Amino acid sequence: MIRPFKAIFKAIGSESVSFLRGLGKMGIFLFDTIVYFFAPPYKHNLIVRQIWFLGNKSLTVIIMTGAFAGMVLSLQLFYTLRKFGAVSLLGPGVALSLIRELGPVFTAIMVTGRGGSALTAEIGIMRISEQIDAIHVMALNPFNYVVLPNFIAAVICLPLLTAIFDVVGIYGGYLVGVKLLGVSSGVYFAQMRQIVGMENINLGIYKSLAFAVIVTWVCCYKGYSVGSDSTGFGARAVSKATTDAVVSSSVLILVGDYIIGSFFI
Amino acid sequence: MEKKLLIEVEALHKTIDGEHVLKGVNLSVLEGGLMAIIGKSGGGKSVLIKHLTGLMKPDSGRVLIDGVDITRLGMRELNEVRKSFGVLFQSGALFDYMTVYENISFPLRERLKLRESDIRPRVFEALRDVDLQGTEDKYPSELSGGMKKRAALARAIITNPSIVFFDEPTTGLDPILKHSIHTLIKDNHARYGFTGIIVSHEIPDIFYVASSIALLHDGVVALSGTSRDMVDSKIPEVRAFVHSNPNLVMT
Repeated sequence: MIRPFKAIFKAIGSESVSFLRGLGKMGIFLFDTIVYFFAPPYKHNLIVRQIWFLGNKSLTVIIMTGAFAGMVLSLQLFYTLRKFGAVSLLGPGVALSLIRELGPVFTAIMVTGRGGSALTAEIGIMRISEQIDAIHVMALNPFNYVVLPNFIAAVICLPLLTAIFDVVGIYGGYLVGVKLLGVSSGVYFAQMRQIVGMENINLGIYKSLAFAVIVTWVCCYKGYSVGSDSTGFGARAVSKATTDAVVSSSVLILVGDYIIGSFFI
Repeated sequence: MEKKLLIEVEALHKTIDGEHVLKGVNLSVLEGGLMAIIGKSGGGKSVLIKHLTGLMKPDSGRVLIDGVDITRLGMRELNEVRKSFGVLFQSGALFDYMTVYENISFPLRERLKLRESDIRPRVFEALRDVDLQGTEDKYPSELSGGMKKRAALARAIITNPSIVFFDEPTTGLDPILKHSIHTLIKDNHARYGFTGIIVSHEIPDIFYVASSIALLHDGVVALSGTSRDMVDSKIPEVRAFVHSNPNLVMT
């Protein structure tokens, strides 16, 4: 009678311990990254390479998603605001939504999908092909070559990409609101400066910095820890790590967005 | 003058995923010696070499490198010991986003902090030593299996390490390439005088390369001695492996 319950409790206990152990390892990984972040020398050539990879290579997708996000937002807001006779708030509404919420979140999710998944796969393959072990036995710290350049590159790139997303989105909204739906150009931009304000721009920057940490933390950790659980040590483990990295990063970005947003409401 | 023991392994135990892989390994290597660790595939040879290089921590037991137990060292102290290491990994472990030149120069640039004018002649000399002239601008993906191993060998010994570990350096190579890699190891050992450990299951080729042999069987060292001792051994496990006759274990 007791045996089935015992098995269930054992399974729950085992899963919980494994989950907590995973969280602990992720926490230590983040702590190590932050410690090494403040301990130069930095590998400048690798940082530049990763800025090119995470930033420059993500530019097209950021411009595309930014433009369409702004256009959709403008279309939806226009018909809602018109019911209340508040079309003059279309521009500030689009700008505020993009700068406070959509810009940082969409940019971080796009970078996760395009660059973060590639990071996990690259680091995972380095792990299974013993390249990380090779750095260890050369008496060097793999963090300086594998994790830190990505971390620094993301902290530099994400706020810049977010800014580009916001600007392109505002002009995407302008295209729909002004050129298609007939809102005056002056009205679209008139109250934007007063309503948006510097505190909202700062909030967008804080969010994008926090998301840069989340994306590199999760994606680098997942790649770095390939083979450390029961998924094995081969291509399947890299594939699982990549999927986990994208899913976990995306969820954490949204959770982080809510937490940061609730502090600055 | 009597040579000192440079590498000592004492009662090393390791369990991985519930499997007791190393069951009390004892091993010692003299300074300047070239020891081959042989044994069947999946017998724990690579796990043992990971312990010797500090990449794995044992459940119990000690690994002494020049008298220092590396199983108890922190990362900083372990890296001090590792400065005397060169490792040729089973897969080569060349950095795939770097050219052959960048791979071989990596430890000189990053660890020894040499200037480019000092690095360049050493890399080209190493490339000559392993017969890879003209490949310096190629990426690992453009090299054959044998060329990758030779490039990795050049990277492993370019810092003139006092201890070099070779993890199955000839796996997956044809007989001619195997012979060429074995010759390279032997020649470089004679030239630089490092202490070497080769993990291999190339019988009898490895007998002509190594000065001593240890057979790892069922998680313990079944016999350690010269190649002559291996051939003459009456221990069934040793005979079965050395003479490739599995029936001898049964009798």
